[in-house]
Amino acid sequence: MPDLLRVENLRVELEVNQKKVQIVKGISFRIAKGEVFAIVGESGCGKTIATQGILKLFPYNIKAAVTGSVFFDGEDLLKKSEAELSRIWGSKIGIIFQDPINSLNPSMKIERQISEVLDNHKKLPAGEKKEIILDFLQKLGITSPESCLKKYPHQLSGGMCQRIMMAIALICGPRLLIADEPTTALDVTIQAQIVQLLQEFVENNSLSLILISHDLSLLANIADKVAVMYQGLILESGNIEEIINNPLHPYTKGLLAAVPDNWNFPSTQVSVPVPEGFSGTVVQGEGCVYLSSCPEAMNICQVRVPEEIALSHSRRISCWLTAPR
Amino acid sequence: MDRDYSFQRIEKIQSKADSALNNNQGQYFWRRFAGNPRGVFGLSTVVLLIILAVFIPWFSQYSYDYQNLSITNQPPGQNNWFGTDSLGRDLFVRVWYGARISLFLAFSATGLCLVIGVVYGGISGFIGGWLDEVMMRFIEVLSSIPFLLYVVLLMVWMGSGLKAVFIALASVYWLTMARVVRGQVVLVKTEGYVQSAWTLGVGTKGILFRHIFPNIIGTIIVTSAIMIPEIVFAEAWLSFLGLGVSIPMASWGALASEGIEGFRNYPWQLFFPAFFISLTMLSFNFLGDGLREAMDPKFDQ
Amino acid sequence: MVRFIVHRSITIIIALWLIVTATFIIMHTIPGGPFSRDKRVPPAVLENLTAKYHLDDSYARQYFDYFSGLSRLDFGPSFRYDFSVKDIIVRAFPVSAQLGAVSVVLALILGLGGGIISAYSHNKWPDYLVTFISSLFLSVPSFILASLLIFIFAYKLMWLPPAMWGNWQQIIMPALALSALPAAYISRLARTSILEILQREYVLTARAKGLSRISIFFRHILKNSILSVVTYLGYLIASIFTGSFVVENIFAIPGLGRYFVTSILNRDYTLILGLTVFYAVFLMAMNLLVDIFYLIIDPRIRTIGKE
Repeated sequence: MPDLLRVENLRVELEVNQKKVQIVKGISFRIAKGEVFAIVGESGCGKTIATQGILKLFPYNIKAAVTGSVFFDGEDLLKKSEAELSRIWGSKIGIIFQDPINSLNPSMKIERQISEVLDNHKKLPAGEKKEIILDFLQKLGITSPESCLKKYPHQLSGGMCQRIMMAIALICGPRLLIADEPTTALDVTIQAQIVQLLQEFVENNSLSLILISHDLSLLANIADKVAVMYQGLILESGNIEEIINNPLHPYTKGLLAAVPDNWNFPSTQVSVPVPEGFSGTVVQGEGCVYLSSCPEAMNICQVRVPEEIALSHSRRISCWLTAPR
Repeated sequence: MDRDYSFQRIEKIQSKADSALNNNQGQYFWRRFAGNPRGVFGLSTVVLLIILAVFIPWFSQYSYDYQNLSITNQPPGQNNWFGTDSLGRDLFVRVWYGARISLFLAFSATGLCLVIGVVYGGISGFIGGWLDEVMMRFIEVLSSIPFLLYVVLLMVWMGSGLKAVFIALASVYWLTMARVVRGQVVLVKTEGYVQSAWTLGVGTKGILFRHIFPNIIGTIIVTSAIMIPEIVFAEAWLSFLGLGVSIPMASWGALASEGIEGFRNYPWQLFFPAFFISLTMLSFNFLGDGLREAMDPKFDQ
Repeated sequence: MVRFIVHRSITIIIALWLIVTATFIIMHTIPGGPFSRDKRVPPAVLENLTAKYHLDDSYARQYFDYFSGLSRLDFGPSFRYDFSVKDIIVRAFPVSAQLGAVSVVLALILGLGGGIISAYSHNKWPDYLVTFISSLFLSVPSFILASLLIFIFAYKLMWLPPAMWGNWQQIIMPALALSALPAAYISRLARTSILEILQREYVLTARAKGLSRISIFFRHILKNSILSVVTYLGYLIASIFTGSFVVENIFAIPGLGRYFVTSILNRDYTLILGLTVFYAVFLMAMNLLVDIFYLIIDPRIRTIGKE
């Protein structure tokens, strides 16, 4: 199957207080059509910045430099201008964010916020447009779409707002959806519904999905592949079953151990490593980024960064434990 | 372990932690403030103006009301650095004497507002309930009156003069301070650490002075720093309307107002008081901004 | 929403009652005031006053009459002019209102324009320039700016007439003098608020929709940032109108502010108090309008009452 998205050696450098800090330190992965690719890691590990780097879509107050290459449909997104990219954003690639309520404009009615994206990418007659929107909201499980369209975001619940965000991201029929912690701000029961909706869309529309999360139990049901990120690097990646059943990197083991009891890992057996302080701005030293928290650190880990090696067609890892000696 | 879970001891530990924290916050605050050139400029100019206003009239050979009708409307020169006015009075000494009056008025009126505002706002916010409701309604009613009209009424009633200006301005500006203090007190009162101090049995006095006051002092300082130039402004406005301090005393506003009468021919009579009013405003504005930015990390972009 | 308006109206009515009562008390207690018998007032005026206010009636009766007079805009005769206070208001207020309206609009245009430029060139030279100019304007009282403008543009360059009223050249300088400070303040407000909104997540959403910078600005940023400026509108109007007392005087504009100042200088009490009450009513009404306007444009507040 041809890849829809191929990311190669992506690096993102942000300017923080006049200092340049590398947040994403060279990550590579590929996503096939209809595949769900999960990126998992603790907050501050660079997963959000990495997806923003893929799209070159950063908040206005962030100054970022992106290097590497991102091939989407055979074209390098990083070589495109903002005007060219804006034709892709919202139409070929949809994005939904972590905090649905704040991601909607508080002083604009829902209808306008959804129709805006259609107007921007497809010229449709007003009647047809309304039809499409109503239809789409129904698909998202909104029971009274008419009245919902007349409301403002603050009149809706978090779960409803996230459905509206999904409508905005998906209504133009994109081929890739990037969902950045789409359920973190929601109640647990709503989380399951949103995940199920995402899954339906992926299956019915052969949509590819990049799902960012810190919650492994959420990913287990939906993801095909998973990449474990730590301090701007992908430490381990592979098919979800492989990673869950046979984690190799100590950090992955720690993450899995932190998942509560409905998993088959007795959480007392593996010590859960607690990283020291905020990890985002640690200067890249000579050794492994995970060194200071690693329960299985060896001498070599202090002096050389482990290179990424492929264990199988899908499985990759950067750790001295699995390196050929 | 000791079975006596004495509240006393916890309170002691707590207070140590508090003061350590406040010290650090203080140092942090001053470091940030010192790193802001505009704030430092504002502070140093304000200090310089105060020193000059205190000392120059002392050491000057002229007095503010000494008239010499043989040298009326002189341009700035060797004998009279800022020139003379239409009655032959030395403008240099009058401007610095005016500085005394304007700055004294601004600081003392702000001080009075501070006291009234902190007491009123503190009571309203800390006690809360219906009392808060009534006190805030009262403020709401008063502050919906356009305040300069209110000052004019008071001044017309009391007659002009330094004391009247002082009372009129203070009686208006305390509203702002009371509202700010009340808002802060309510905010801090509901914070987790104050709630937990209550449950630990810390008394009202302890809560007020150890927890609430240290946390609102910053906002109070900033509000005062912003209030001072507003009062300088308001005083100038009143003087222009002829409601300021009585002659031959002269605030900056009164001097500027006198200067406007003949400024086509003797522009310096307006220029010097106008310059110092503006300089004072500018430095207080910068000082206020500097303090606020140092206080609020949000500004650090 | 209705509750809010009722609440604000009640507050304003109480405030008005306070100010009217205060003027009534001042009228009666002030030494040399309009009703004090120990001062020589022209007999015609005294007669007129006695007839007008029924000074022989009880205070309660007078107080009541005073109120019913005010409700008909009847503030009594002026002490110094041959007109009633009402005549003066009718004649001079349109001039002040015209100057005020021009200044308010000018302040909004300059302020918003400056704020937008400043925010969009954040920490580049246009931003520094606008911030610098606004710091200057925030520090110069309107009467100083007015004199400075006259000195430069009328006396030195002779581009504009130094005073009087009637044609468009004569409105430029007073309007500039009045609007400079509020414009500076608005530009700061707008700058902070736009910078803050640019960081909001919904702006990122708008970009993720593929909207152009211009449509993001007009659809998502402008309206939300104007909200913070609107909260300042009431204060803006009040400061421009009270500022016009001074500015009208300097430019010899025959507006209400000029009468206000001369009435204070002349101790023309009926005129002072009448104008105070009139300005109080006018400014409070404007404030109420601004509050209502704010309710209309901010859906978050508007819809709370409905649910």
